[in-house]
Amino acid sequence: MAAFAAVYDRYALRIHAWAAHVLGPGSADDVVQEVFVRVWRKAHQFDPERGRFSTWLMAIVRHHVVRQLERSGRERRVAAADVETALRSIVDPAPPPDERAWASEQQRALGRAIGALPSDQRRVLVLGYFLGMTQSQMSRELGIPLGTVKKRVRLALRKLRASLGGADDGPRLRVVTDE
Amino acid sequence: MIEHETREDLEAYALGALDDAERRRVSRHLAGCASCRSAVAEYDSMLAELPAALAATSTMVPDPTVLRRVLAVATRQPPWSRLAGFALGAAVVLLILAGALNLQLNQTLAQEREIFRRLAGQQEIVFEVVDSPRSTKTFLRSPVSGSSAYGKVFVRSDLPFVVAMAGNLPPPPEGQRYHLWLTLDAGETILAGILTQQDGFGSLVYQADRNGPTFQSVRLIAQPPGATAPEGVPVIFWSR
Repeated sequence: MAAFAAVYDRYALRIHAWAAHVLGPGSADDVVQEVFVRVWRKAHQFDPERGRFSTWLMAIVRHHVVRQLERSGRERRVAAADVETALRSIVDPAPPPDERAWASEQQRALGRAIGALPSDQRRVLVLGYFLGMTQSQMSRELGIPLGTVKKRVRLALRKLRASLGGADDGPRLRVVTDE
Repeated sequence: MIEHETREDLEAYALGALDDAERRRVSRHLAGCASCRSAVAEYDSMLAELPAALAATSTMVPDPTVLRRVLAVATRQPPWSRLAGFALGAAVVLLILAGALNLQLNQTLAQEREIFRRLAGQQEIVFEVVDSPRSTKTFLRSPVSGSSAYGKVFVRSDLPFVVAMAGNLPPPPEGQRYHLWLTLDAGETILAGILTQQDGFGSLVYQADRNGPTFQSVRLIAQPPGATAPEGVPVIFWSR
C-alpha cells in the first residue's frame, strides 16, 4: 500500500489540476480516483522498456479526461480557455506551492516557456495535449487552415524543447538514410 | 533504406494530434525505427511534464479522502484479483524506482517491498533522477560469463545525485560487503557507498559534488568494510 501511496502522492495533484481545469473543479476528485483505480488495475501493462512511467500515466489521464469531456458536454472552447488562463500565469513562477508537483528546475523552465508562448501557439498545445484534439479538429475548432495549425504546433513544441536545452537538429523533411 | 517520418509528424504524434490514418502510419514506422522512437520518446517525456506546470498554477488540491477511496475500490475486487492488484500496485513504484532492474512481476512481493523500504527515505531523489528525460542510464554487467548479476546507474544532468541499483547479486563472501566505486572522468576514484543488499538486490543514492557527474568506470566489488581502494574482481562493472 505504501508503494502505491507514493505514486499517488507524486501525481495526484497534477491529475487533479488537469481535470479541474478541463472538466470543472467539481469533477476533479472523481477523476483522480478513477484514474488511480485504473492504474492499480493496469499496472501490469506498464513496461519500463517502452517509456517512462509518467508518460504512461499521463496517457491514461488524457484518455480519461477527454472521454469525460465528451460526456459532460462542456464546451471545449471554455475548457481550453480555462487551461490557457492558468498556463499563461506561469511567466515568472513564484516559489513552488507544492514541491512534489513542481520539483525540478526543468519543470520550472518548461513552465516559463509555456507562459511565454504566443497565445495562438499555446492554444494548439492545450487543445492537443490537455483536450486530446487532432490537428484537423483544431483546424475546424479554430477556423484556420490545417497548415496553420501544424505550423503553430511545430513552433510551440520546438520552443518548449529549446527551453529544456534541446538542440534544433531533428529532421525537417522526410529523409532517406542507409541503415 | 529507411524512409523516416518528418519531424513535424513525430512531434504531432507525440502530442497525440495526428488523425487516425496518420497515427497508424507513424506507429507502423516507429515499430521498426529506433531513431524515430527515440525522437518521439523525447517529446513524450517533455509533454508529460505539462500537467506539473498546470498543477503549479493551481490552488486546488485533491480531497484528502481520495486515496482512501481508491484503495477501498481496489480492495473490493475478488481475493485473487486483490492479491494481484496489491503486488502490481507495489510493482508500479518499483518499476519506476527500479525499472532499470528489470524486475519482473513474478518476483516475490517481499523482495519488492524490501527494495522500496530501503529507498523510501530517498524517494523524491530517486524519482527525480530515475524518471526524467535528462537522466542517463549506465548498464553494469558481470565479467563472469553466464552470471545473471546486473546493475544500473542513473545520473541526471541537472542534479548531483547518482542512483545505483543492482540485482541477482551472489551473496558476498563472509565478512565482506558490496562497495560501489566510481571513477570520475577527471580520474578520481571515489567510494559511492556500500550497497544495502538483501536477497540479491541492492541500491544506494550517492550525492556527488557537481551536477551530472560522468564516469570512466563503475565497479561493484565485494570487500571487507573499511576498504579504501577498489581492489579485487568486480561482481558487476561498466567502463567507457
